Amino acid sequence: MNAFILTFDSIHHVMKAEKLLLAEKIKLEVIPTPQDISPNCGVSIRIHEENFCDKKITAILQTGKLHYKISEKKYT
Amino acid sequence: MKIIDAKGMLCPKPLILTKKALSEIKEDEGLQIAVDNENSLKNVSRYLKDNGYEIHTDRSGTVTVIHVLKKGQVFSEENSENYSITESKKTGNYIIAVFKNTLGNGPEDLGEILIKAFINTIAETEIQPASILFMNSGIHFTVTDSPVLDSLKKLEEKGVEILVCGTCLDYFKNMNELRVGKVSNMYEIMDKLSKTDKIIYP
Repeated sequence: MNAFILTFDSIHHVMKAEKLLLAEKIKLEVIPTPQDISPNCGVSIRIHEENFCDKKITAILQTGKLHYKISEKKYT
Repeated sequence: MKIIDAKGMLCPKPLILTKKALSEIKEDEGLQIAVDNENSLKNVSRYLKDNGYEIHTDRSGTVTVIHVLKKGQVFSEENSENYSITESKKTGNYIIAVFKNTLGNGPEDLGEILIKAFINTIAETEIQPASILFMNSGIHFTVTDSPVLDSLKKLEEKGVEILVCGTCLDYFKNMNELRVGKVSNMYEIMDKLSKTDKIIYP
């Protein structure tokens, strides 16, 4: 099972992104940033592949003018 | 050669007999222990290996004979409790008490995002808690539309007990809104808290 991890520049951006995505009913989870993506303490948003639609999510986050990175991660 | 017949005995009896025998047998005298259940086999084997003994096992049907060669080792008394697990549970003897819907003291929005991340991380720790207790505003994580419902359901499947204060559920929502765990009460919650090794309050 794969998931996409969205990492942001600051916790404030994470909070903003979470609000925007939830408002559009995107199913997500707030998780600590996986160590292999960034060893620094931080929080990321995880979206499982079945809930992830690249176009839609990009559009939503753009309304918030948020800069972010997407990583893919395998989960057992 | 000393032979122990521990068939039909449940943990920790086979272990106790093993320990006693090891203290009695001579240097380089062999020891054999016959067990017929998985938990005893695991626990006795692990105890011997952890204390530096070489063992060899012979399985025949439901009976396994553990062959031990004494190596002049010294035992530490305290360790035997760790080997008397009667169920091979993957949970540790600790409790996480979620008594509010935020983590720490500070801005509420930060506290909310932190507690969500915290709960979502529990399933990924090596040793899960025996139970997670929810009280006061913490109960919101156990009802419909909880942002961490999937994580809690996964934990429940792994054997983590999830207890939710009934009074609190009633105060905030209808009891029918509970989506994970079971409704509990102060007696049960107090009982769990008093018997566990450690309690983590995020």
